[in-house]
Order: sequence, then C-alpha cells, then structure tokens
Amino acid sequence: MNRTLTPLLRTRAVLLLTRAHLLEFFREPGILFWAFGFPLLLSWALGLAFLTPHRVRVTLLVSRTDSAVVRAGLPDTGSIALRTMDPSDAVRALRRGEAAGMATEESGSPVLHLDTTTQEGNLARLLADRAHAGRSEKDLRVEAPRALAGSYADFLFPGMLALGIMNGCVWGIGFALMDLRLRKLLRLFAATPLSRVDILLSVVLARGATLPLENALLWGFGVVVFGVAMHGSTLLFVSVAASAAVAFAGLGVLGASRVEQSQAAYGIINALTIPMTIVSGIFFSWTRFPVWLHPVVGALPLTLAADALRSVSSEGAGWVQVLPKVAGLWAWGLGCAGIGLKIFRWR
Amino acid sequence: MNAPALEARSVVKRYGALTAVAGVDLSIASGESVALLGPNGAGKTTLVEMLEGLVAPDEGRILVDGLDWATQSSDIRGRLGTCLQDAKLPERLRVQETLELFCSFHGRGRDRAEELLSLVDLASHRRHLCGKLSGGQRQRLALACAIAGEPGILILDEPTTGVDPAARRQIWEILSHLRSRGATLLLTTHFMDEAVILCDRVVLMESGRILDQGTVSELLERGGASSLDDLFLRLAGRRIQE
Repeated sequence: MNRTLTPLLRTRAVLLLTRAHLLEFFREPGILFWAFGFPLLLSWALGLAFLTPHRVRVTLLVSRTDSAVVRAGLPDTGSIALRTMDPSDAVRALRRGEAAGMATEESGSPVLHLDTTTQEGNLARLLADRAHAGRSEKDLRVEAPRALAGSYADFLFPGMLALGIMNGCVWGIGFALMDLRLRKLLRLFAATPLSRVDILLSVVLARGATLPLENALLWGFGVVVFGVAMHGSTLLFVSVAASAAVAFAGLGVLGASRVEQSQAAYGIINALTIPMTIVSGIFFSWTRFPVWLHPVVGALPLTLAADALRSVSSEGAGWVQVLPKVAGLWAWGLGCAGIGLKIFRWR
Repeated sequence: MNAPALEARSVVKRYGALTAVAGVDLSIASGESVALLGPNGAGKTTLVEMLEGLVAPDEGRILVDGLDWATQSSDIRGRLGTCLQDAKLPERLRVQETLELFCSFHGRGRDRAEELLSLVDLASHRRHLCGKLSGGQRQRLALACAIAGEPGILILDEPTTGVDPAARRQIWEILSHLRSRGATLLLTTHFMDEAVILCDRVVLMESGRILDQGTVSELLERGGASSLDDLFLRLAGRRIQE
C-alpha cells in the first residue's frame, strides 16, 4: 500500500529518526568522551599551563654570578620571576623555553637579553621595565638574545620531529595493525606459514621505510626556512630519533593489541597521542605545568623524545647526557611491545 | 593407518563464564569433505578457530595430520588453507599482486599465481584492484589465496555467503575440483544445499557440543526430518524455546 505521509506523521517520523540518532550518539561511550570529556580535559590541561590564578607571568633566568646585582635592580614580583642558576644551566633552560629571557649584570646594572620580536619577549620587557622603574632612574638596558640562546624554531622543530615520529609510528604501526585485524587480514596471514613475528615485522618495516624520509623533510624545512641549528652530533640525533621510533612502535603495538571495532581503534590512537601532544612540551615548555605534574609529564615517551632531541640539537648534549632519556625510550618501547605481543589478538 | 587430517580431542574453550566449546571430539579423514552446521552461537567459529590454530583450547588437543598445534605449529601451517567469508583482501592491491603475495607465503612464484588465476577464472581481471571486484570475484580470489600453497586441508568459513547464485555455483565447481584432487574440506555454511552437494558428512553443533553427525540421509532418518533445512530449523527452534 502506497501511503502518503501527512504532515503530522512526517513530523513524527522525523522526530523518531532524530531520537534514533541521539540514542546512537549517547549509547556510544567513545563518542561521549570525545564530544564532552575531551574538550573539558583539553581546556583543563591548557588552563593548568597558562591560566592558573596568581601565577607568575614571565620568568627570567639569572646566572649565579650576576644574581646580587640583577636582583637589586630587578625585584622578584608577582608578575616577574627570577630563577638563579649556573650560567650553562641558564642557557640550556633558555633553549628549552623555560623562560622568556636572561638577565645579566654589566657595569653594575642589570641588562635584559630578550627576543623582543616575540609576544612573550615584549611582555617580559614591559614587566621588567615596570619592576625596574621603582629601583632606578636609569632605563633598563635590553639587548638581543645572546648568541647561544636559541630561537623558538630551535625549540619547536625537535619537538615537531618527536611528534612526527610518534604520529608516524602510532598511526602507521598501531592503526595499520588494527586495520589488518578489522579486515580479517591478520587472521588470514596468521593462517599461512609466515610466522607472526614476520607479519608484525612487515608492518614495522613498511613504516620504517618512509618515516626517515618524512622526518628528514621536516627537519630540512626547519633548517632551510627557519635556520634551525644543530649544535650536537647528527649521528647521536638520528640515534635518539630511532630510539623514539622504538618507543612509539611499542606503544602502537600495545594500542593495537586487542581492538576489535573501528570506533575503538580511532579512540585508542587519539587517546594515546593527543594528551601527549598537549602536555609533552612540543609547542611550549612542559615546565609551565604545575610542579606536581612534572614527574608524570617528564616520564612520558613524547617528553623524553622531544627533550632528548632538543638537548642534542640545541644544547650540543652528548651520549652521557641523553642516555637516561634514550634508556627511558627503549624501556617504553620494549615494555609496551612485550605486553602488546603477550595479549595480541590475531583474529 | 593414516592419521586423520583434522582431529579435535575433548576440546574445551571458555570465554569468561561462557563455554563456547564444551568437550568436542571430531575426526575428519584425509580426503573427506565435512560441513559444520548449527545455529549462530553454537560454537562453530570457535571450533574452526581452534582447528586453524588461531585460538588455543583450554582443554584437549587439536591435531592436524597427526601433528599437535600446541607443539608443532610451524609444521602445520603449510598444510592448511583458510578462506574467510568476509575477509577484505588488500583493496589497493591488484588481483595478480595479491595472488603473488599469498604465493610468496608458501614459497611459490608467479607460475603458481598464473595457475590460480586460471583456476578461479580471474585471468582477465588480473590488473583490477581487489577493492573494485564484485562479491563473487572477491570470494573466488579469497579461495585462490587459501589454496596458494596447495594445502591438503582447506577450512572454509561460509564460502558462498553474500554471493549471487551464479558465483556460488562457480565456487562449488572449484571446491568440487579440489575434492576430486584429494583435498580435505571443512566448511561452515548456512546453505543446506551446499552441504548436500559438497560434503560427505555433516556435523551438527549446538551449545558448544556436537549434537549429531553422519551423512545427510543418516541425519534425516535419525532426526525424523524431511530435509536438512527442516532439521536445522528444529534445532534453532529448540534453542529459541529454551
């Protein structure tokens, strides 16, 4: 029977269909998390880094030898903080983006070394001027960052490289394995004489074939366009990058080990990568987060990778300095891969 | 006496509180063709996964040509071919590339891929992407991949579900050809005519146990049913009532 819908029946049908969509939406826990939970978590995490009330606005580093003079002319206020440290540590901290600039002593007066082309540098200058005005009639001298101090590009690109390796491995290995399982190809391959290690190896090799090229392109872009510096050994830098790949490959295998549904696959990959992208100090220093979070953030594989790459490229660190972080990356990789393979679902 | 091609000895598999397979004994002789029938949730898939070596039994043993999956898995793999109903072969690989890939798993080369292309009548589609094939063509390709290594034993999970009648007949012809060459077949199916045409023996499963087994005529006689469809519906109906 061909029955024409009256406006009332049509409205009812549309409402029922709308209700069906809403039911499907609210009955999917993954969607609920990404729609409601994740934006709140993201806002909370960024708020911790940038919006905590009564937080010092900018940090300036002072080398221990200059400390007395600088503090006399530039008092520690609610809006500007002075962190005293050894000269070499101060330069390293500056390169890691832990402060807006440095304050030194010259001829008995404080001198600021700031990059005034950046928003943070300008803010630091204004706040420092205001703090200094109450102490001295002379203007505060401001100079360009010292030659050794890194630019934002020097900070950003090692982090971007670590991020690229993470995304490349977690998506390229983790998601690829999940996809093979969802398409039942893992089960088909596992039923052939090919060993299971060989099947996993083929996925890793496929990713390993393109990952170096992708990252070399990114780094080359940074060097050519933004003049990103390499102060350390290129071989060590590549070794650290390879260690990062091991860590994230392990994470990818663990993430892929049990997933049986496509929605869950996307959810797991996002849950692994997005929080680290925010907190691991890729775009800004993770020391901006409250101190109680530092042990957790500092132990994350993306933090270890970004910090180790930055240490080599910006600070010229050697094997001894980066060894703990490289060991951490291998521990992540082997630990995750071990657990992942133990519980891996082949069907 | 030759060992059975496939053998399950007192096999049990549990998933939490659910016992998917509850003490199954099954023996399939070399060259025999057996259909595994039963309603959804009867334990067919779990039993097949154990026979394929994908899942280890909690109790009992699974033997292939007398070799134990628990201790001789590497010797077993080349003897089995597996064809899954809805496996999605690599969509962006061409038909020939896919066959060459599966042949490589068995140490076979292009010659074998060419043989398979002819056998499953896909030679004219060799340059087509797998993702562009019709359901019947895809299933024939999956079958070709399963027999790439010329396995003596073929396990087929609903090999003709989702294909049109013409394609189903083509697949039956290929399977009959393999039978005539001495292959052992174990297939799960919901098509009773498929079981009648292709199989020497039918095994009925329900609630993780083997309810009955024998030739089609033996089962019909014992079950007092006029057809396998009738027998299956009684089985499924009893389940619903329970």
